[in-house]
Amino acid sequence: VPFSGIYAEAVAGILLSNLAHFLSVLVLYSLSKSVTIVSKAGYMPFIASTLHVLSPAGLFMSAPVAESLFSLFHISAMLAYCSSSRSPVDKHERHLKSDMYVLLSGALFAVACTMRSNGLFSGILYAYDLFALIFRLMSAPATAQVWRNATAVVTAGVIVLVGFLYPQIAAYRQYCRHLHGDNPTWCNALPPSITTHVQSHYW
Amino acid sequence: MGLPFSRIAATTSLMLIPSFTQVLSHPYRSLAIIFVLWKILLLLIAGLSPGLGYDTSTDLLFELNTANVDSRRYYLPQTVLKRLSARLVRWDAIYFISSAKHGYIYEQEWAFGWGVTTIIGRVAYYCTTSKARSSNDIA
Repeated sequence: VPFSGIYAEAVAGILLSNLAHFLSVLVLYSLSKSVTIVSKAGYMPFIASTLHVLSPAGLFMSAPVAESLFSLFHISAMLAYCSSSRSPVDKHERHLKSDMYVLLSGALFAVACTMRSNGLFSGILYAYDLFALIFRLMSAPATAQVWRNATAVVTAGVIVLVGFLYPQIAAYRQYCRHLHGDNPTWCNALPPSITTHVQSHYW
Repeated sequence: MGLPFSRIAATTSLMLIPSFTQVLSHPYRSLAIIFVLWKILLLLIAGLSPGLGYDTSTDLLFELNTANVDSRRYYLPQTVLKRLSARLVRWDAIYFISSAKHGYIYEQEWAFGWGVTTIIGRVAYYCTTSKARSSNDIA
């Protein structure tokens, strides 16, 4: 094995970033195709994916930073989410398979959230779905399927939240373990988030 | 000889550069080719740029400017990857890479995506031998 010391991490990071960028381009193509009407889309999905190759982020997409990996997991999550609503059945009735896609998208968004916390905004998709289901429940009698859809949507939302909170909880457990005093002041802040603290303190 | 030069040039370029319809008929392959060409261009620019850069953090991280000059021989891929590492590990990437190796030591390092440092750290760990891991050599 040719690398030791810190070079191993540098090379691993660079290879991972380039691989993730490449895969995210392919996934974006697939996603753009799935959300456009095939006959009318023409070359739009291809142009969109090409622009993602030429990304203004430039070398950042090859450097060992969060952008490429976040892009891969986030776009994959959107593809999974869009696959869930493409069931040929009535728009309002979701198959079990489509619920599985909702859960898969939640898991992928959660991984993205551990990389960049702004991934949390994607949880809005599930909040919207939940409101739509609640409106349906008010206008029509509840079927077992609607309850299952609601469970899938809520679970996916919770999974995204777990992805967002996990690093925060890990930091809290590491820094705030003293029961009385001795803890850094941010442990008692609301929310007791290390990210909020370091962002305001160091940048 | 019949054909004017401009016509020959046009025919040749048509053979070399695929038409848009051809490109679209194999979208994934075309995207892969565009991706590879674009990365080669960007990485060449990064790799061939002169100098160490005005931020010396990278050189300190890789111990590039220490007195013990590295006299070992490297294969070309190693040399290329070492040079690219020195070019691409700048600014935030320095935090990501050192956290990937050592975990989060200073509290401000928690600002750099936990998921990313963990994945890079795991991959690097499994791809190196324990001997290589414990050595402090440059390569």
